[in-house]
Amino acid sequence: MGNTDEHDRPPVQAAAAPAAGSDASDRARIRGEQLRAAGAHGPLQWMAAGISAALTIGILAFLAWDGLTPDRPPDFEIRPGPIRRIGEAYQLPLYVRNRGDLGVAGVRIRAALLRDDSVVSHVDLTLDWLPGGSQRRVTAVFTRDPRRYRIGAAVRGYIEP
Amino acid sequence: MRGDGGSADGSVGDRRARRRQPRHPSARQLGIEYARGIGGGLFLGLPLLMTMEMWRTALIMPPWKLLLFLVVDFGALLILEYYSGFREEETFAEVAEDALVAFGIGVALSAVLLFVLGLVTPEMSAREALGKIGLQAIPASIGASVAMSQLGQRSAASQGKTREAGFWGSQAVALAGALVFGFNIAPTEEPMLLGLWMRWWHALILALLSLLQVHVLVYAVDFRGAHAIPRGRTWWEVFVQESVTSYAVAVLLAAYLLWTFGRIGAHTGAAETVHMVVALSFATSLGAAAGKLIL
Repeated sequence: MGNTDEHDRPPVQAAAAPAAGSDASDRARIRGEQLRAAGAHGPLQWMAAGISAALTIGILAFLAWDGLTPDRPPDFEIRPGPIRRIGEAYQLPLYVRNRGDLGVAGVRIRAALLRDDSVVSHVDLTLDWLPGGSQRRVTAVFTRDPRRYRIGAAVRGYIEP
Repeated sequence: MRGDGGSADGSVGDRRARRRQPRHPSARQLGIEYARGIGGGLFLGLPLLMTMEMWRTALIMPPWKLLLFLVVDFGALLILEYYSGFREEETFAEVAEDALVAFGIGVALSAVLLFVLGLVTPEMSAREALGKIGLQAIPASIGASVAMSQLGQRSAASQGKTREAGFWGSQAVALAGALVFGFNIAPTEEPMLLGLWMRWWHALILALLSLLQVHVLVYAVDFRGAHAIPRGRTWWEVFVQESVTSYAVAVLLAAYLLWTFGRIGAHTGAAETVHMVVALSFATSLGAAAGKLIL
C-alpha cells in the first residue's frame, strides 16, 4: 500500500504547488514513465495473458462441469485387433475401453478360443490401471491359431481404487 | 593506473577488467567451474537416477520423443544461461557455449553414473543405453547449468548485475523452473494414480491452490529475490498478467511432461487427463515460482 501516495495525493496540495497549469500533463507524463518502468504491457503480452486466462478458466470450468454431470459406472468394451503369427505363437491384441467415467484398477480380462460354446484355450490378463474414458491395449498369446475359433473376451473383475 | 584518474574513469576500467576476466579463465578456474557443474548435476540428477520409472521409461519412450525432449532441455539451458549471465559480458554465442558445456557435463555425468550403478552395460543395445543416458542427462544438465552460473562465489558477488528479465524473460525463467520441479515427479506413477483417484472437486481446489501459490510466493511473502508489485500497477493487473500466465506455462509444461512419459495420449479420457495435468501442475507451478524467485 506504500505506492498510493503519488496519485492519491489530496487535490488541495496539488493546487498549492507551483506551476499548477502544467501539473496535469506533467503527472500524465510521469505516470507514463512509471508504467514503462513497471513493465507495462504491449498487445503481445496482453494476448499471452488472455490465452493463459482462457486456459486456466477452461480447466476450472471443465472440472466444475464434470462435477455437475453424473458419473457413469465402469463399463467395458473389448475389441480384438489383427492377429499376428510370431514363430510358433499367435498374438491377439485386445483393445480394452472403459466407457464409464470412473477409473478402475486391477482389471482382470479373460480371452478365450471357443468351439461349439466350449472353451478350447484361454489366457488371463491383468491391466493395472484403466482410467475412465480411456483405452489400453493388451495382447493374448495362444499356441493355436485364433482365426480357426470364435474369440471370446470379457472383463472378469476389477478393483475400485 | 587509469583508475587513479577519477571515479568515472575507474568504473570503466573496472568493468573492462570484469569483462575480460571470465571469458579467459585459467585452467584451474575452469576446472573448479566444471567440478561445480558436476556437483550441481548430482544434486538434481541423483534422485531421478535412482527412480525406477526412469530406467523403464528409457526403454519404452520412442526415440523421436526423447530427441524432442533433449531439444526442449537445451532450450531450457539457453534460458537459464541467458538470464543468469552477466549483462555486459555475454554474447549469444557465449551463452550457447555455456549451455553446451552444461549439456556435455550432464551427458558425461549420467553415462558414468549409469555405468557405475550397473544400469548401462556393454551387452545392452545402443538404443537402450543411449536412451537411458539421454533421459538422465536432462536433469543432470540443468543442475550443472544452475550450479555453474548461480551457485559460484563470483556470481554471488555480482548479484544484481544479471539481466533484467522483463515479462517474456520472467515467463521463460518460470518455464525452466517448472521443468526442474516437474521432472522430479512426472516420470513416477504418482501423478497418474492421483489422476485416477482425485475427484473433480479435489482437482478444482488443487488448481486454485496452485494458482494462488504462484502469485503469493513471488509477490507476497518476502522471500529473498521476491518481486514487488511495480508502482502504478494494481494487484489484480499483476495477478492476471504475470501469475496467471506463469500458471498457464506450468500447466502446458505439465501436460508436455505427462505426454512425454506416455501418461496421456489420444486414448486417455478427458477427465483423467485434466486431473493428471492439474496434479502435476501443482509441482510445475511451484517450480515456476521458484524460478522467478531465484533468477
